[in-house]
Amino acid sequence: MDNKYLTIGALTRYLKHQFDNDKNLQTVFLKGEISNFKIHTTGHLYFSLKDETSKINAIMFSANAKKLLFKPVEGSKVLVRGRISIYEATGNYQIYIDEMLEDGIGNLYLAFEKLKEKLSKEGLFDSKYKKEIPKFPSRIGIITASTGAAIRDILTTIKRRYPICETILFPSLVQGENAKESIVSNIEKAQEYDLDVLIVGRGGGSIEDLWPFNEEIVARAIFKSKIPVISAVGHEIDFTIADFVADMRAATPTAAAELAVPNIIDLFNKFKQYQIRINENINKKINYFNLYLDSIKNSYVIKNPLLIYDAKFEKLDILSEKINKEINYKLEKINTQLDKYKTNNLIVNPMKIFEKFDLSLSNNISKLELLNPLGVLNRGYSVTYKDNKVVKSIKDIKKNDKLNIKLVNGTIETIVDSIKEDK
Amino acid sequence: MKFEDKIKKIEEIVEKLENGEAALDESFDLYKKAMDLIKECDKELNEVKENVNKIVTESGEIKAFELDEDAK
Repeated sequence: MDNKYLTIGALTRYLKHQFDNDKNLQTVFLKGEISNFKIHTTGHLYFSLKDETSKINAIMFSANAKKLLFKPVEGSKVLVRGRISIYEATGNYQIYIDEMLEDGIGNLYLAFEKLKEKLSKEGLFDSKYKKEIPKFPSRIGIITASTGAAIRDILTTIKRRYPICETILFPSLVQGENAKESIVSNIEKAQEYDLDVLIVGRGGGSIEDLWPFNEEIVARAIFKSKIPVISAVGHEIDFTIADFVADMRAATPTAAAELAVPNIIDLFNKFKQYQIRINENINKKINYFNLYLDSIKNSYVIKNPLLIYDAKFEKLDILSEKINKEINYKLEKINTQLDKYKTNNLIVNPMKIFEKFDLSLSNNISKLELLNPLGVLNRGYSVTYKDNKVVKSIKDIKKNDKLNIKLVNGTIETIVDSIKEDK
Repeated sequence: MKFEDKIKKIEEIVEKLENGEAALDESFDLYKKAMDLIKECDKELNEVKENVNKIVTESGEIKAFELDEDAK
């Protein structure tokens, strides 16, 4: 039966279908070394991945190849993620790579970036969590290897700068597989000792050597520490996760020791300065008050206190003199007044009062007599009437008018003969 | 008083004396206090303790730690 013969295409399609539907083959992680590396003009990468025993063809399309964080070359050790499928034209199975990382350093770098981002998002690096490093620690904990440059640098630096400080070493593994646990358990152990500051670190080394300080559990242990932590990992250029999470980052172990303790020479100088300053200040104050006291002592009242009384006496004299003068003046005035009274007529001859009185009485009587018209007639005067009216003016009468002239004891009837008016 | 607090106190007194806040009799008290504190701090700094370096062993015991100068 011809029917039992399959076309190669059909078989290949069948196989491809099987491959594509196998969940195990849809996502595959492989570790290997690149060989037969080619970059097509389209940007797709064609190569094989091999290890000690086997080999598989690999293709990475340009869209994915563009996202590579490293430049793959012949012999690169890589970690890949992809799917296994069959290329129908050749019938070869191969891995279609979605993601490829450099095994080793590149991978570490990525892990570093990923952890850094994660912890940063969680806030482990926030400045609000940073504890202050005490200025004058009396006890410093050190977590590092008990031998090597790091502990030597730290101890000699502390001894040189601040020998009065106690150090407690928590010997720790600082590289290799078990280093992270060792560091974490030492950080935890250190919490039980009365420490002012904790230095966690190691000397320089390869990125792999420093790796324990990029581990998440180490970062979290540092974050959790109640004691302020100074990280001191590797050299100036090395930054680890521990550096970000620590309360202070030191570029090197020596720098960590310098940050942890003050320089005793500086302190001595500081004290000397303070001593000078307060001595100067107090001396200045004493001098000032001495001068002030002198000026008071030399003031004339203190020097010659009786002078105060002199002035008072003087004033008293002036006042009493003034009073005397005033009183005498008044007395004198009264005396002259008295004298005046003494020489007065009435005092000398009181009878004169009555004399005067008598005189005025008779005067008054004469005045009354003057007003009596009869009295006037008595003294020889007369009154002239015309038609029974008293004639007061020469103009009231004419020639031949009949006039009656009354005297004290009778009346003359007469006719006017001539009139003579006074000029 | 802790060393750090003593230094803080000294700094306070120096400032107080220098900006003329203190009355004369208070100045003498402050002066004496500052001088005493400086003397104390000086003494503390001069007292170099022995066995400054210690090590915590596996069992949590504290022992003196001598730096192995040959170690590189």
